[in-house]
Amino acid sequence: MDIMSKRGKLGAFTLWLIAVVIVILVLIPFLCALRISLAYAGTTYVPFTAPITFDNFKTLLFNTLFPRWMVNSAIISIAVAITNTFFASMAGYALARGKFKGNNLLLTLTVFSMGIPYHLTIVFNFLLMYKLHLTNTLLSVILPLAVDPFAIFLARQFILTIPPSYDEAAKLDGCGELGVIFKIILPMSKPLLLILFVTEFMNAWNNFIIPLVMISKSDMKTVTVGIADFSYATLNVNWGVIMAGSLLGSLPTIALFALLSKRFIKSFFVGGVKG
Amino acid sequence: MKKVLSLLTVALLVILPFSHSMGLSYAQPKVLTFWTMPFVENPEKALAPIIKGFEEKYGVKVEVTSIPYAEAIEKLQIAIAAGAAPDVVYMTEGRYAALVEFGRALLPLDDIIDEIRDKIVSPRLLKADYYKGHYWVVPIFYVSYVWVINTDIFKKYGLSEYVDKLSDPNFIWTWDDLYNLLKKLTHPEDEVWGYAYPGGENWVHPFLLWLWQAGGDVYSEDYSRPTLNTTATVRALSFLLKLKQEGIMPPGSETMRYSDVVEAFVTGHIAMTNYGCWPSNVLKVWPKQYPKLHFKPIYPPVGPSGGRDTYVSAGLLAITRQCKDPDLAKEFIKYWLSSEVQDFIATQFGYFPVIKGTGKELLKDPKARIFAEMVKWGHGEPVHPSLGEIKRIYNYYVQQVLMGRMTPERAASEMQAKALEVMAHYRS
Amino acid sequence: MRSLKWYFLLLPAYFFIFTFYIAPILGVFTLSFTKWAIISEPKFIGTKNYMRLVKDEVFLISLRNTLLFTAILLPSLLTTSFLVALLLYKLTKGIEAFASVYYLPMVVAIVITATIWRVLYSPFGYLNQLLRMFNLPRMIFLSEELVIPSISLALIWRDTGYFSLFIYSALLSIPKSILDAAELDCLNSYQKYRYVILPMMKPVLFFLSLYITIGCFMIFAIVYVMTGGGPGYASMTLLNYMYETGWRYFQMGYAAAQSAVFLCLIILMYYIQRKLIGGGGVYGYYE
Repeated sequence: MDIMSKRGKLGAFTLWLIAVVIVILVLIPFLCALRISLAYAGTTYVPFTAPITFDNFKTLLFNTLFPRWMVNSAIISIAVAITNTFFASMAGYALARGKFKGNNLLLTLTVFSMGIPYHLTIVFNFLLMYKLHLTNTLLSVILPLAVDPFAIFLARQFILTIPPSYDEAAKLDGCGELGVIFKIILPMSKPLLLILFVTEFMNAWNNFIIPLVMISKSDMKTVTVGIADFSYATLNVNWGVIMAGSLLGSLPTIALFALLSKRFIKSFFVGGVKG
Repeated sequence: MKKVLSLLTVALLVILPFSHSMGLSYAQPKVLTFWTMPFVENPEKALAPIIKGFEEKYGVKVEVTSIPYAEAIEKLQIAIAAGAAPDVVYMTEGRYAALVEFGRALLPLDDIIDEIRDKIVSPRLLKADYYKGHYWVVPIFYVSYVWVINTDIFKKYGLSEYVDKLSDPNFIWTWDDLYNLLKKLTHPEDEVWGYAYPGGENWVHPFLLWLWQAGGDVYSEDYSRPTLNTTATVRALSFLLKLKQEGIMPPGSETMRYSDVVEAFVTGHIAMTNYGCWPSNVLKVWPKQYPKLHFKPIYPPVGPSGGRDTYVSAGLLAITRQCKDPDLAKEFIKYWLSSEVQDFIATQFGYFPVIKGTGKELLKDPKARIFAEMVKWGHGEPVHPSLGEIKRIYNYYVQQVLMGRMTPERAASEMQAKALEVMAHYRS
Repeated sequence: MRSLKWYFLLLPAYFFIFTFYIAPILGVFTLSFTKWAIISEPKFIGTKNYMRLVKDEVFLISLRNTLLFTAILLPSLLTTSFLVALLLYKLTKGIEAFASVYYLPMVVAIVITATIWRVLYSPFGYLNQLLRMFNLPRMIFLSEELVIPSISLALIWRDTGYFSLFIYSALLSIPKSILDAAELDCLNSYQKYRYVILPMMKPVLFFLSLYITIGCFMIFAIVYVMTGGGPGYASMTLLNYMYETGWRYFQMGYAAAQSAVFLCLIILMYYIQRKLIGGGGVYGYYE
């Protein structure tokens, strides 16, 4: 747009300043959590000048099952991300391009399913998992999350933005249906696949209610359930350890995000076909 | 990107088959499944010596799983529905009656109770283990609510003599004395207040402490109806309202959570608080974690009821009907009542033994002795399954009174009306 | 058959959807006509649960709270996300870096966000400490009056960055030719936004509105961790009440009736949004 006018340079700097202020606002809660995690007291306020200690982290890593919980969460999240990326994008493509009976019905069903919270489905899902002898295993969390209706919806919406004219152009060039998929849709869907993978990984990692119900053995729990455990376990709430666990428990998702953030953010930056 | 994805797919295909076997326990002959709750930190580790003792003595294996309090009932319900219930399960007073009422899911344990009746420290507390004709749970330790004071605050405002008086079992002090004392301890300009009531916490206890001291109770003796519309309730509410109106409670106390009140106490903003129910925290953890805090447990006042009524909770064990070897399960429970285990619980965890004559090491500590005496005046939690809903009702009304929105009398009659409505849904 | 290949693509996904989403829902509808405490046998009682629901004060309070969350969060989130998106759009340097940081809160589990903000809101925590520094009285952020705005603030902190990226992406996809034409027609800023930009954002706004609304109805974990529904019933939402009814008060049948009504409300929201904002898009949706 047209900010590079006479007031341009000043305008640009002010905007940059506002952006930085917002960055600070976003990061402050994390900084507070960090400060509490590095303190002895375990209270909810710790002056920034108080001495620093890693005791809480030591307790967390050596005296609790936290490391095991991290491993459990990792396995579950990777599995769920993969199943979603494959199956949801396949279904999304079918919904976007497929002219078949029941397309609208399936779409309505999918959107309907998006609104179904896990709390409604959890009892029956648990009974199902028990009959299959899968409770207290990681599969009992992976399977209900394996395909997220939102992922299907997202895939459909995305593929719809790829103009059918591309498909037709490719077909005129002699591609079959499969060719269209691999030569046109797939390459253009890289941003979609990436978003699906990362979003569903994080959805699984951060999920609370499903591992809460499916898993009762302490060593099979996930990180989210474990952190909540700390708050509810005994009356001796030690915020230092809880904050330490909260921060460490967020590290994988933050790290994954940081690693892929360039591509991930860039995917939002790609507009569709420009004028 | 493709490379990463294919690598991950391979990893997944390798891990998946193993995830199925992770956590599955292969059935062995004579396995006892035991679900506990975290009444100690890291229960699987902390209880290991007790469990091992039993395993060795009887030549069986015990599988211990720990479930946090907040999820315990859900998990147990689901497990029972799915036919996957544990053999023995740790219980608390508020949790077992519903299992009996709605699913006849527990085994009556009258025989064990009869065996220990004359060996038990306080037979009066067995009332909390009794519901509709039978005993369904066996207590294995007691913990009590305790009143603590911040001795530094007492000293600061010239009240050090009370520090010793209040921890003297022979010193009688009433609600009027309590009010006067708290008033002298309240100095909002220093951000110090006398007492904070955690009005924002939806628990059974804080209000019941006051209700019992006032001489009232939630239900009638036979649990047939609620008894909230009594002078005792009005007395309790009026007293708390008085504390609030006179500024003895910090602003916002009526919406504070329990952990907020504890934090206020340990950071020196509150002179007196009730802490429950885990004495080990007070005895062992607080001195380490809050070295600047100087506190002392004291005896509660003598309330309008005529006694130092307080809340005593028990660690309970129950056997589910789905247990395949009830005799073994009963032996397991009786093992927890043996003097070795009772001594262990007392010394290791700081909880008070159920059997007379045990736990002598613990009772040598004068602080601990105060706790132990509380058991004498203790009330157990009411056990009716509707308590979950009713506690939300009375907590709501306590809050409304503290916020000045209604009189204690009106609150008492409204909470009784609502409680009656609610109880109707619990007839199976 | 031409359709066969489509069914092949759809099969795996919809196998999971049916097993884990649809089938349990059918079960829930059946349950709503019973009285069931999970550990007992379900007992058929007809429509008694629904009749009780109509008179249930707490259910109405939960509904009101949920709608209150929606009423607060829908405009606030759309506004904050739009403003942040606009900021990103106008920046010349470091857009990616800023966007990454703004997205960060979304990456963290809601349980963790809830725990961190609960600590921040504590009567003796950082926010109150800040107030004390300026000699202002302590605020109880999780009191009856303030609890819903306070929780909303935490959610705004969390979601703004995420949603702003969707809007930013939509802004980018506005063809430059149209913007240039607007310049040539001498439209001022307000007209530019109202008549050119916002209409082109309809699909994104519809999508976000739906997402935010459904998100508000699904508020559970943050309330569970921060207040448990309290003080009193001030932060009790539909899902929180449903959870308590089923899992704490042993009334699964009644909770199932609540679930049925809940689902109908979600569907209602969907159609209202459709009517108000419309679903039309540039490349044609099959609607």
